[in-house]
Amino acid sequence: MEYYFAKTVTGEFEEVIKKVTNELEKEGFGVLTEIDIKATLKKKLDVDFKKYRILGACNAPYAHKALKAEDKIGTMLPCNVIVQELENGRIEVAAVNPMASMQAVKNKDLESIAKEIGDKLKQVMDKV
Amino acid sequence: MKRENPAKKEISNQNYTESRRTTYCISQRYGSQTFSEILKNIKEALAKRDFDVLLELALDKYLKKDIKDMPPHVILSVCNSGTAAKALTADLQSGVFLPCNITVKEVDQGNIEVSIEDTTVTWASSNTNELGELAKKTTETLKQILSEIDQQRMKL
Repeated sequence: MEYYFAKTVTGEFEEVIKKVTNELEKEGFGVLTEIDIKATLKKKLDVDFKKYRILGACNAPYAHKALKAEDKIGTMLPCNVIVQELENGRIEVAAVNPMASMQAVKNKDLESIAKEIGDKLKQVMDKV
Repeated sequence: MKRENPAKKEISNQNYTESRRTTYCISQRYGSQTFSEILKNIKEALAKRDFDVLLELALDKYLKKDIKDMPPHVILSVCNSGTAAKALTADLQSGVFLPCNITVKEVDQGNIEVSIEDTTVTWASSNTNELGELAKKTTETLKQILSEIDQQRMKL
């Protein structure tokens, strides 16, 4: 099973981030962290890296359901969406596939929650 | 002593057995320190190993609309930038696994459970050898933090 859903889009990097954030909000996900990998690696290691942002997104009612089903699932929250620069001005958006990550957990109740969250993330991917 | 509160003890043991069976994280419980002391010790142990805390999410506050009176439960998202750079070089999509999480939660009065993500399991779907090696090292480092929480208390 592929561990992420990816899609290539065109546009300006910051605009794509805004679009992804808006579409996540429509599906009930708040963006809790935004990690600028390019800036972090430059600052910490003086390494040049392409534009690469990790958005940590969480849907509170689903997080609640997941915690009820599996008390230590906090170690796998939030869900990540990556926005990265490709060549020729193209930008790739990739969201974690929660069905793949939850395979390691081996909890039947969590599988259906992961599927619903995965469907929501697919919706986001379709719209960006 | 067992007679004093057998029900509580039984539940506590049951939960602990369950936690040992969990595949994707490694958990340890601490009974002699407060929630905030443990959080502080974890952060010190992380800083020594060049891990930055990128997110500190108090789930009990975040979910207060959905769960009333949830016991303290914090997610720390932590990252060692050297490891992150190597992981991303080996597999550009591995950002979906980053950063690593450590959770701290109160399981019952005076009993705090700390869980570290087992990256050898959570990063396994990437299937690149280099990421497998990095995952092993990362889990080893995070395990050291679990054992250091108690040692720091001894020093005080």
